[in-house]
Amino acid sequence: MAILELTEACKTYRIVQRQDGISGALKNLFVPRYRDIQAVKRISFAIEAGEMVGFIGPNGAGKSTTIKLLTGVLVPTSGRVQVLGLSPFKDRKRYVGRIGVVFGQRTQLWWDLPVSDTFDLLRKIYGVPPQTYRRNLELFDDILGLADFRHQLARQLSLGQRMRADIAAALLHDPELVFLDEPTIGLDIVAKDKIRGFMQHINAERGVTMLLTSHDMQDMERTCQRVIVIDKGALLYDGSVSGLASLSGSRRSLIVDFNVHTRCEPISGTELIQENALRARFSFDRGSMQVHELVSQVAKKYDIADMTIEEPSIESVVKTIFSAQQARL
Amino acid sequence: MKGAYIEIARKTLLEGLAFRVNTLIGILDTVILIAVNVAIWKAVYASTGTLQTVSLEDTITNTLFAIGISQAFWMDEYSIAHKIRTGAITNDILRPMHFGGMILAADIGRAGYRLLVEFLPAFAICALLFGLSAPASALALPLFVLSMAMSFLVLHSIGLIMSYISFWYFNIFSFVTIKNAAVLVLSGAYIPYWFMPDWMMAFVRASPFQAIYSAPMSIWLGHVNGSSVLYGLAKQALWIVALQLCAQALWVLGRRKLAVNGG
Repeated sequence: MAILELTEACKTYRIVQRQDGISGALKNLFVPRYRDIQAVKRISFAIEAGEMVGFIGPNGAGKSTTIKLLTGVLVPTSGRVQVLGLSPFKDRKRYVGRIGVVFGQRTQLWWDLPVSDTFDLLRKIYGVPPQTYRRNLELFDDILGLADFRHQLARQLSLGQRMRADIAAALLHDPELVFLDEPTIGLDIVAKDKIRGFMQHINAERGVTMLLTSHDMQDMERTCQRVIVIDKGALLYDGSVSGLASLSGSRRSLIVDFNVHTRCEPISGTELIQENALRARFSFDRGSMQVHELVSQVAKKYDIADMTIEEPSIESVVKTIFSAQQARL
Repeated sequence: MKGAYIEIARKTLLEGLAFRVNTLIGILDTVILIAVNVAIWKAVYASTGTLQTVSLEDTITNTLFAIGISQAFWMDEYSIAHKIRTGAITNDILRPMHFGGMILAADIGRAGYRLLVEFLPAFAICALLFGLSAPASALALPLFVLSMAMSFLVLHSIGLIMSYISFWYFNIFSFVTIKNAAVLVLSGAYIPYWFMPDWMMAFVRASPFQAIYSAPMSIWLGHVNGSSVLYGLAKQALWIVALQLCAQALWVLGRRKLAVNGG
């Protein structure tokens, strides 16, 4: 049974089209010109209870708008949004008590209060029973390490601490469904890992359904079974993570940093796409070239300081899928 | 759930108490404002002799209460407007609470702290300096308090309507400024109704401004008696209902207009 259903959902913003200069500003004052921006164009998908779904796309693809349609913040211009058997916008008060939402770029903590005060207020807002509240706090202390900074003011927290506190705040009332919009944005590897582990734990142990957006392909590969890709407001892909990886092509880049100025010779099966005195970038096909072979070849030949394998970015994945679709049409 | 609204009111009240210098300045501000207005009325009475139908003492009492309390009943339209403009209102929408109810709780908390720590001391100082008429009867005191509470609700409802205008207009500064000026002039705080010309009174009687400071003050001063007290209270209640309905309609329409871009 799908607990979340989006059917042909559209969202159009109407914005005033500014005109340049004083004459333009005056013209605007009397006859404003409007422009419609289609942030979401006829998107349909469904999510089953207990799923963990990644939602990706480049900047401005309509991810946040879709999340806002699903959380009842915005009303769809057309189409249907049905979650937990309710209409998020119309049944807002009943609906939002059953979901949790994290916006990575906007904290929900009360800025001038200690984190613990925010939690206390949330406990009252959602009517969380005392045992549930205690049990959840213990879990958050364990996995997210909240105990270290629970009594600090929200505005004094580091970004990583703030994000952990925000995620905990969204889960205090045992929501059935959680939306996370960029929960790892701006975080370092350690903090990202902590948050990924926590999301997996909540999903696996409690069966909480999760939809998370991210810019980070690794977020998706580590945590989600299924991904949905959108760009320019339209759905591009809905399927497994491995399916996305194969669609995104098998080309990878090897970046080599040298200790001394080096001129590289070409290596068979690779393409030298960028070279300067201390760095070279080889592009290769993961299907035909074993990574460890390439690495050992390079390491034997040159004096190496560092090597990195570059995974394709979300932007390039989207570009590949998009052009593949165009070709099919 | 109910606890959450009370908690919001309590937190706002405590937040106000945290700033001591602000409190002192608030008291001083109110005392000066009342003293200046009392001086003006004294001068007016001195030059017009005994022509007035209402005594100087009653006029001073009106000034003490209405101007003093108007300092405490100051609504914060801009912070809601800011939330709507920046999209920070998302956080409030995601709480299973009534938005107007949350604002009411915060307004009560703020007014509560201003009444307690700013108005009461300022009022005590001014009462000692300028004197004060006693309430018209023993019953007038509780009715005055009830009526003043309804004045607060009228002001709160008007404030909500002003804030919700920002769903449509980027800048509500001019709307709020006009509203504040109208409240100052037409609510009976700065110009008691007994000094107002008839044509102006005809307008004021049909407006919600009459349901603000003049309603409780006329009870305290005994300008209304018996059934007309009840009539005045009923009129206040009616204005609250009408303004709240209007605010709720704007909220429902405004939420459809809301656009939250980015983040």
